[in-house]
This record gives sequence, C-alpha cells and structure tokens, in this order.
Amino acid sequence: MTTEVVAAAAEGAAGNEEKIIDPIHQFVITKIIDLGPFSLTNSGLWALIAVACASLLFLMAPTKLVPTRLQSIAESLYEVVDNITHEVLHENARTYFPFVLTLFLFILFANVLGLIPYSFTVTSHIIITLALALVVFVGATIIGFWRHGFKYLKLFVPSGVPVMLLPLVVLIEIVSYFIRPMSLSIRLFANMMAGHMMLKVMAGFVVMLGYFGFVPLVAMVGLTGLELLVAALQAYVFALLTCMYLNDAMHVDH
Amino acid sequence: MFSISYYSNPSLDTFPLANYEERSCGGEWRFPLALCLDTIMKNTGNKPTDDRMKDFGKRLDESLAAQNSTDGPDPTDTMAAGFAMRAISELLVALAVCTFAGYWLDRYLGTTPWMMIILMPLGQAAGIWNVMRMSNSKQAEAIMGSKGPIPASVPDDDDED
Repeated sequence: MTTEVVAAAAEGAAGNEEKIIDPIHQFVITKIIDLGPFSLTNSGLWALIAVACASLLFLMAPTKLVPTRLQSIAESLYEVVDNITHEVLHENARTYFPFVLTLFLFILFANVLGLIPYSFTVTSHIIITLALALVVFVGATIIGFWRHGFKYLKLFVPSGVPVMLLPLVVLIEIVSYFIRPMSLSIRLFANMMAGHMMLKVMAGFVVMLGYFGFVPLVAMVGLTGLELLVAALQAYVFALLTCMYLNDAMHVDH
Repeated sequence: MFSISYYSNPSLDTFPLANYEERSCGGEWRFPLALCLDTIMKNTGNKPTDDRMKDFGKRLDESLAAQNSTDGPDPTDTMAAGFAMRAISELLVALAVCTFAGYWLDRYLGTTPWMMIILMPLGQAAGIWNVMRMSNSKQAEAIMGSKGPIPASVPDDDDED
C-alpha cells in the first residue's frame, strides 16, 4: 500500500516537472528475498547489517593496554553507556548495562549506516522505533510491578500535592506515563526521517540549480555532519531515557 | 559526552625517545612520528639528549591538556542540545499524541468534540509537567549549574490553595 501511495505521489510530482526531487522514495520497503510473511526486506537487511557491524566492532577490537583506533571506538562507546548507566541507575547499573548497551549500539549503527548513500535507515520507520520503545516501556512496567507489587501505582500519586488537585495531577501523571513510549519512538523516528528527507531535498537542489548547484552541495557537507551528530545524539537520548524509565521502576518514591 | 577521557597518559618524566614512541602510539603511527621528530631535530640542530628534549614529556602533557580544555565543541553544549531537543519533543509529542488520541476516540465512539477537548489540554499539561520535572532533574543541574534560567531546586510552594 505504501508503494502505491509513493508511486501516486511520484506521478503527481512528475506531472508538471521532471522527477528530480522525490525525498520519500528512500523510505520505501522492498522485498529482497520473498518468503511470504518472513520475507527479507531492505529494512531487515540493514537491521542485520547494523547488528553485524556492532557485533564485529566489539568482537574484532583488540584488547591491548594501549588501544588501537578500532579499540578506541569500541571503548568510547562502551564508556558512554557505562557513564549513563552509572549516573542514572547507580547501584543497578551492572544489571541493566548489557540491555542499554545493546539498544544504544543498535540504534547508533542503524542511524549512522543510514547516512551511507543508497542504504536504508532502519530507524526512519516508526514501527521499528515504537517496537524498541514498547520493549523498554513494557519491560520497565513489569520490573516496577515485580519489584514493588501494587505499591508501584504510587508512581502516579506524587507526594506533597493538596487533595483538591490530586485527581487532576494523577490524571496528568497517568497520561505522561503512557505517553513515554510514544515520545521515545516519535523523537527518534521523526529526527531520522526529517533529516534524511532534508538531505534528499538538498541533493535535488544540487541538480536543479545547474552551475549554482555548488551552494547546496556545500550546505550538504555541513548537513551531513549535523546528521551524524543527530544520529549519535538520538541514540544517546534513547539510551539515557531507557535508563531513566528503568530507574523510575526501581525507585517509586521520587 | 563522547569524549575519550581514558587515553592512557604515560608519565613521561623519564624520556628515552624510543620508549615514548613505543608506549604512546604503537603500530602504524610509530614511523611517521619518528620521521617527524627526526626532521625537527635535524632542522633545529637538536639532539635527543639536548636539554630541549628533557622536558618534552611535560610540555606534551601541558599542550594536550590545553587542547582538551579548549579545542572542539564543549561536551556540555552537546549535552545541552540533546536536553533542549528532548524538552521540545516532550512538549510537542504529548500534545500531538493526546490530540490524535482524542480525535480517534471521538470518531470511534461518536462523541465528536468532547474527548478531543478533554484530552488536548491534558496532553499539554502532561508535556509541561514532564518539562518541569526535567528542569528539576540532576542532569539539568549538571548542564545549567546554579545560574540556569530555572533554579536547580524549585520548592513546590506554588500551589496556592
């Protein structure tokens, strides 16, 4: 269905002008190996590549006392997550470190690999980011109930609020709790999709402007750098918020 | 945020040149560095035993420390950018999700404007609530210090009942 919509949009664009700018086309999902419901799509392929790259980085990095460049990359990524978990989760950092590191690496590699021309950005589809966010959300909720039983519901009743305002505050707390997976997933997906569409539109300008195309070309260099920053930042924010939600599940009385 | 803070900092007080190369940059970097130092020494007429080379390690440490403190984007800036983006998305997403949820519920239940009217301000309130909580968090304190636009700890005395 998505393909039809995109094809229709492309036809509409091609009606009056030649088809140069088609920033949506990069998000189309195509089947590479058709196996019915278990088909390998380009999204699945790039997700596998992201997993493979992340695994290879940590498997191939040597463990010398004086790090090589590859080892430095692996160590700095490890240290970023180590810092987040220790700052936010304190005594539970060791328990949840592998989970957070896995999430962080997958999102980071999916984001960064998406910047390679002709690749596919796995995290630019909300179904992927929503699935990741729901894993965190449902997991944190289960951990909360497992640790505290029904006392976990105290999360919705902040202390020191006058009785008059309590129903409203509880309602707002419940809404803000259930919005968590939404904001977590929409933030990542929107950043990735908007950035990649902007890059494609800019690239279209390079062709359209002819001799003056160097102006958007120069801008593209800067934008690509910015996108690299956004890709890393979004992975960082996702990992950080995962830790915060897990911490909320640990300590109800905030 | 992504600073590499653990580069091993070998104390270079004792300075045999070859040893320093061995420890700080092994592998492929050894050759260019040695060549570079060699060229410098030839051009300046300094030998490794020259007293200019005696405090080389100390000067290298100093310049590295200076570089780390001034060069590149401030890690707090990057953290602040991430924090600001989070705050904005928190505000917008809460409002958008609640509005769409209200719209969808209305269409499903046939209660046309009412669910949307109830849920929209709730979403906005939840967004503002989350941003307020964020601004009181430890991270906000770390980024803004005590001189931020919002004091690090706002007492909950503004309920006015």
